[in-house]
Amino acid sequence: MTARTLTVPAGTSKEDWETLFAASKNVEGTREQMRSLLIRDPGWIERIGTLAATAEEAIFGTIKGTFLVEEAWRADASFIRASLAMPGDGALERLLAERVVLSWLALALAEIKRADRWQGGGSAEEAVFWDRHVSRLSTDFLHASKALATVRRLRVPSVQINFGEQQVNQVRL
Amino acid sequence: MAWEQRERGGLYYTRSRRRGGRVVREYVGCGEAARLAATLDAEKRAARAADRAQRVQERTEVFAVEAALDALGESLNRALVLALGAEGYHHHRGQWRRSRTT
Repeated sequence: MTARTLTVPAGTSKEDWETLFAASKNVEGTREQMRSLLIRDPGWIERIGTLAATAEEAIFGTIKGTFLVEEAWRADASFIRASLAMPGDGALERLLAERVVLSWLALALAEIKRADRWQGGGSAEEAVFWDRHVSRLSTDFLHASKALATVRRLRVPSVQINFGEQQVNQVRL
Repeated sequence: MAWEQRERGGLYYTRSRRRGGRVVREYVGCGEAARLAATLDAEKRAARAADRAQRVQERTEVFAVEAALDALGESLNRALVLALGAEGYHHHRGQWRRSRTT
């Protein structure tokens, strides 16, 4: 995992400082204090870094090129993020769309790396490793896409039409 | 790879290789040619070590990506179950169904 810079706002209490510092050093017994700090002030979740931000950093950490290459990938990810957004999206849809973007990005980069390794004539063990990695990311991408599609489909407003007393038809618009 | 001290005082460059499960020592020579061979061998060893280090680094990054995506996926799956459950859906054999009572 790549290192993250934590911006601590002015007015942070001494106790919170100590908790954050101890948690950053994996000091035994600070996990509970850290949990209560996150419950008391959820703003810290954003500051410390969400799971999506951590995944994004890990993915971009695998790019071994110039800033030009990295920024092109970032722009591509932003474009896909924007194209997946729909009016009226809630927090869940936004997070699911983010997962689709990240898993697509990880898959695309892994496929390029696998192709690079094949060109270099890597060993059979290496070929198996990259095949397994690409296959796993491909499954991740499909699961992420399916979850987003499911939520989008289920959350579409529905109209219920009743005929008579018994018959009930539901029509999704 | 080693320089061997000979009885008459000269240094002799040798390479050890594994052939058919046995270590075989190959005598390269002495003097300028041996020094050149030793330099080239050292460069090859350094390149192989750098290549190995790069592979280890690459695999560490790959595992970090997989772990981060797993953590994100697991937490989102939990959120999905909670959110759709609150809206009256339940998961049945891989499908989301709306409860008849809702």
